[in-house]
Amino acid sequence: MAHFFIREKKLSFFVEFPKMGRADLRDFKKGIDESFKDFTREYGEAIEHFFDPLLYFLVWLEKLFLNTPWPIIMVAIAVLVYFGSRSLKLTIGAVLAFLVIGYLDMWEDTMATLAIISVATIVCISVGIPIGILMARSNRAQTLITPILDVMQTIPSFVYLIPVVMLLGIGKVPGLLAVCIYAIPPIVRLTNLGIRLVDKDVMEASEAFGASYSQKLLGVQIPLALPNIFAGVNQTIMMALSMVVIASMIGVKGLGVPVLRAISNQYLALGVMNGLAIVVLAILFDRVSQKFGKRLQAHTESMK
Amino acid sequence: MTSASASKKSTKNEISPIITINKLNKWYGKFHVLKDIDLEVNKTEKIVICGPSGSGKSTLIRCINRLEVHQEGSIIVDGTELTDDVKQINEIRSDVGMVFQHFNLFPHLTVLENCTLAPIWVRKKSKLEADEMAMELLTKVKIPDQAKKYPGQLSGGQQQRVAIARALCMQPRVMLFDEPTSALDPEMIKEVLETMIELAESGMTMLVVTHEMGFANKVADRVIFMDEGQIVEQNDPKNFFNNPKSDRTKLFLSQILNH
Ligand SMILES: Nc1ncnc2c1ncn2[C@@H]1O[C@H](COP(=O)(O)OP(=O)(O)OP(=O)(O)O)[C@@H](O)[C@H]1O
Ligand SMILES: [Mg+2]
Repeated sequence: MAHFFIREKKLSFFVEFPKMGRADLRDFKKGIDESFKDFTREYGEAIEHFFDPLLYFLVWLEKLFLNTPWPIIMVAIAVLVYFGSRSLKLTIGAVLAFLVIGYLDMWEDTMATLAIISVATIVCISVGIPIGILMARSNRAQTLITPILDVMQTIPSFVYLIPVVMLLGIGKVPGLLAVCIYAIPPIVRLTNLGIRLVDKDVMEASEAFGASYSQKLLGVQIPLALPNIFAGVNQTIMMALSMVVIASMIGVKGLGVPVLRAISNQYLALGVMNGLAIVVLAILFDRVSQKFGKRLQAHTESMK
Repeated sequence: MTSASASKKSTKNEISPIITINKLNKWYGKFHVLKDIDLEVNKTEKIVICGPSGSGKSTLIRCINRLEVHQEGSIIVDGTELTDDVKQINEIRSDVGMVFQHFNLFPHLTVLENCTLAPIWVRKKSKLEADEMAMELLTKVKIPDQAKKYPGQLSGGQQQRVAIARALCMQPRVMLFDEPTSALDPEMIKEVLETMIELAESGMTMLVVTHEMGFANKVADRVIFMDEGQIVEQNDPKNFFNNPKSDRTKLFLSQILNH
């Protein structure tokens, strides 16, 4: 090889990028695929069982949302929105929006979407906040985890759908995982940031009377970081909603399914209607959680 | 010399040091902040520490509850030496109250909660017990009616008095003050100093970094002058102010007294 380059075609090195041999490359990729397939065969079932509780929970929530008579759900939504936002205008808006959604025959899909968003948010919060705390506690953890978060946020979702589907097949759980992978970075980042931004002086006050690590964390850092953590939750919900259509491609029920049908059959109205329903959900979640976050912040603000 | 001057003042009290600092040295990187500090503080003694900015006053008192870590020498608080042992550090910290220049109250908690947090966490008191004591101390610093407010709603002077009450709720054996009045408007300085004078009269052991020479004159058993990380001079207030020995002390006094 070397001989060939130097003597005969010295220039070709510059003109053509030095590539791995075609056969080598094929073997290389095949090797990866094969070993992942082996891994799947070996552990796929165990991993699937690991996620069973999540599946049961999602199915249970979906059934609950769907089997509860719609007026009761409506009342529940109104109560939640009101207590989240303390805004009558927003509450009336939410009720009207859901009435229109139901009237246009999107009730069931909307309930399914609400179920998966709720479960994804719960998963993201319960996994993301501890990771965020870990990152805030250790600089090494931060330098290790930050690039992973970068990858999770920028890699095209279709790329990680491949291994997820290979491992778990098509269904609710892989869909849920895909949503969580995409939606978890903001809550991790903002938990980390929020804790790191807590005033050093205030931390010192708690140190000065001999508080333990967990007391400082739970009593001072997390309460003071709450507005930031809450901004993270808000963003996580938004990102989960934006994954609804992609999740539908691998078997998640909800508003994404009719959108996909609309794309392949060129049903303009169907696509727009369901798309707008997703937008309405997003706006409601956003406004309510922002108002709630502002209330959390109220007395901290008067400090400055 | 330290014990000699101390024994003169605290005649009615047993002479036993509650803080013993021996050949203390501390560096920030290459910068030598504290140089061979020796200091004994007796029970109920009131010490005022003064000196120019950057002389290491804050660093010294922060070493006493290990908010700063020293590299050489020893600090013994109430019979326990400060080492890396976290349990010991927390034990000492719970017995040493600290009041900061900028109050450092917990903004997310009410005044009452600020005061009860540490007793409930560290002293394992019931909420009822802690509330009762906090109210008592808030009454002592004359702000019981503010108990339900948040720190952000109080004036600077009120906040500092809350901070003092908060520290006292732990029933500390020593109180450290780092320039407690220098972030306050003049009209509020008085109310905080009055609180501190009352505390001094109640027999608390106090180390106070301050430039309030009126306070030093009235309360201190001993005034310590620090410069460039060293204790340059220490004496009872009368002698300290009237015939300072070192030139550096004279210069410093002329600067702050003409102020
Ligand atoms: N974390 C730190 N890192 C490096 N240097 C520091 C640090 N903290 C303090 N110093 C330096 O140590 C010296 C002593 O600081 P210290 O805060 O103890 O002074 P001070 O006597 O309390 O002054 P002031 O009256 O301004 O409060 C100063 O020169 C300061 O710049
Ligand atoms: Mg200072």
